[in-house]
Amino acid sequence: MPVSRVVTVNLGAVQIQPSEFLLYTLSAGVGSPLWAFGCIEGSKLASTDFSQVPHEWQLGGARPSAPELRHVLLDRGESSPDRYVLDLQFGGTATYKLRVVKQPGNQLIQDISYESHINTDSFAETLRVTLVKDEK
Amino acid sequence: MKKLSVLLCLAILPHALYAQMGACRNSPDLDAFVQCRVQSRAFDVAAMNNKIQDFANQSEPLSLVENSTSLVDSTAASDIASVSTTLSALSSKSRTPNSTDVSTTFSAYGIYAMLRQTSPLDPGLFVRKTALRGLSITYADSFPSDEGATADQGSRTYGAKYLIHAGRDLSSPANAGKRDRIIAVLQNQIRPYAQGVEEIADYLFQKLEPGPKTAAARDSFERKLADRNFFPSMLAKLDESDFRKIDSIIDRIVPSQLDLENASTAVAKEVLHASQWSAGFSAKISKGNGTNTYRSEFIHDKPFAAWLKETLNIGWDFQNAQKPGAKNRQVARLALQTETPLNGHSGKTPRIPISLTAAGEGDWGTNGTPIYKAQLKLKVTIFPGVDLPLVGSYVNRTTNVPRADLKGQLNISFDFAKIVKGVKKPA
Repeated sequence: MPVSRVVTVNLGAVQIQPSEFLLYTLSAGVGSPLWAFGCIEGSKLASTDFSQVPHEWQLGGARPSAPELRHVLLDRGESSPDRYVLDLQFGGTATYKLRVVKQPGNQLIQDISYESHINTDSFAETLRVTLVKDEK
Repeated sequence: MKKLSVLLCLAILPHALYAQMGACRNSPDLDAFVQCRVQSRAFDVAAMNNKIQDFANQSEPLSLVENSTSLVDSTAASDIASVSTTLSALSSKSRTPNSTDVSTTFSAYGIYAMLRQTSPLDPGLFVRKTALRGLSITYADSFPSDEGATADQGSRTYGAKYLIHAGRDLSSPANAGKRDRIIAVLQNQIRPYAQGVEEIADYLFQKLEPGPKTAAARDSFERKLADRNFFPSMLAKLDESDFRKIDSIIDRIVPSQLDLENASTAVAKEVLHASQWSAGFSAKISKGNGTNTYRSEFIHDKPFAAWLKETLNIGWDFQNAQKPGAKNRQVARLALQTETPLNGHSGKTPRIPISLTAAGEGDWGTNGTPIYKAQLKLKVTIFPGVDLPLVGSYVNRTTNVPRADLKGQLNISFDFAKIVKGVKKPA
C-alpha cells in the first residue's frame, strides 16, 4: 500500500526575491516525526532539530522573521534554481501535513497531506526554488 | 542470505518494472511519479502492517485482584485509560468464592491531559510526555457474590506500575539512537534525490515543452509537472526509450532508497521485538478481616516472533493476616505467560484478532505449602481496544481449602487509547 498523498495546493516551483522567504510548517500525527530537509547541495535540517510539533522553519530571506524560527539560507544565487526536498519517513508517525507559504503576501505554495501505516514507507516532496532580483 | 535476496530482487526488477509501469503512469504529478518509480526499482521490503499497537498494554485486571483473569501483569498499561470487569454471573462455580470485579486504570499521561483539558492524542503532547505514559495507576473493587456472602468479604486493590525501559515505544528516549539512524539515511538521500528529480524534470522539459527553452518557460513547465490535470497526459507521450533514460537517472537514487528501506526495516524489526521492563507495586486490602496482600514485582515482556510473545513476573508478596491466630506469609512469586495469535498469520491484521495464552505461576513462601497455578486463555478482540478473554484456571490448592480447584471466567475489558485510535483516523 503506497503512501496516501492528498494535494490541495502544489505549485511545484516558486520564485522568491531576497526580501521574501518561504515559511514551512510540518505537522505530524501521534508519535515521532522522522524527516530530513535539504537541496541539491545537501541536507539542511532534520526532525531532530526540533523539540515541539508543528515543526516550522524559514527558507530564504535575510534574517529569521521570528526570533525562535529555524532559518535556512538559500544555497544558490540569483537565477540559479535549486530543488528543495522534504524526505518523510512513516516509522514514527502515520500522518504528516505540509504547508509552504510565501511571505510577505501569504501566498500558499504547497498544502499536502500524507498518510501511511507501514513503518518502512517514505515519501520525498520537492519544490524548485529560484532566487530572483528584488523588484524594489 | 539477505544479500542474495537483494541481488535476486535487483536482477528480477527490470522485468517486473514494466509490469508496474501502468501504475506509475497514473501518477498525478512528478513527485508522485518519481517516488513510484524509485520504490519500484528498489527491492520490495516486507510490509509491516502493524503500527505500534503493543500487546503489552494491559487492560485486564492486575494479577492481584480477587478473581483476576490474568496470572501475570504486563509491562505497560493503556496510554490513556482502561476499564475491565469480571462478572460473577459469567464465572463457573468452584471452591474459590466468586466475585464481580471492576478495575479501572489511568495512565499519569491520561490524567495530565485531562487536567490540562487537552486531547491525549495531541501529537506534540504524546511525544513529549513519554515518562508520564509509562506511569499507570489502578483501582479495583471486588464484590463477593456467593449466596450468604457479606460485603466485608470483598476487597479493594490499588496498584501503580512504571515502565522503566520502553523498548517498543519509538518515541521513548531509549530509542533515540534508532530514530537517529533513520534521520541519517534520510539526510543522505536528500542530495541524490534532489539532483535526480531536477535531471528528470530537465529531460522532460527538453523533450516535451515546445518553444524557446527560457528560464521562465522552465519554471512554468515545473508547475505543469505538479499539476495532476497535465502530468498524466504528459506521461502518456513518453515511449519506452524515454522511460529507460528516466530509469538511468533514477538508478542513481536507488542506493540511497535501499539504505533508507534497509534502515527503516531494521529499526521497525528491532522496535517490534524489543524487550520492555517495568516495576509494579499493588496492594489488596480486605474490606473485612481477610488477609491483606502487598505485591512488589519486576515485569519483563518481549515478542520473540509474531507468533510468540512472552511475559515474565518475578516478585515478592507479603500476606498480612488479620484474623486472630492466622500467620503472616512472605511469598516468592514467579509467573510466566506466552501468547500466540490464532489468526492473522498472513501478515494482515485480522478483523477480529484471536489469541491463545498459556500461563503458569509458582508461589513459594513461609507458613504454607507452595501453590501452583496454570491458566489457558482465549482472547477475542471484538473491536480495537475491546477484548473478551475466556479463561480456564487450575490451582493445586486454594488459600482457604487445601484442595485443587478449576474455574472458568469471562472478562470484558476496554482500552480507551486503542478504541479512540480505532474509531478516529489519525489527525
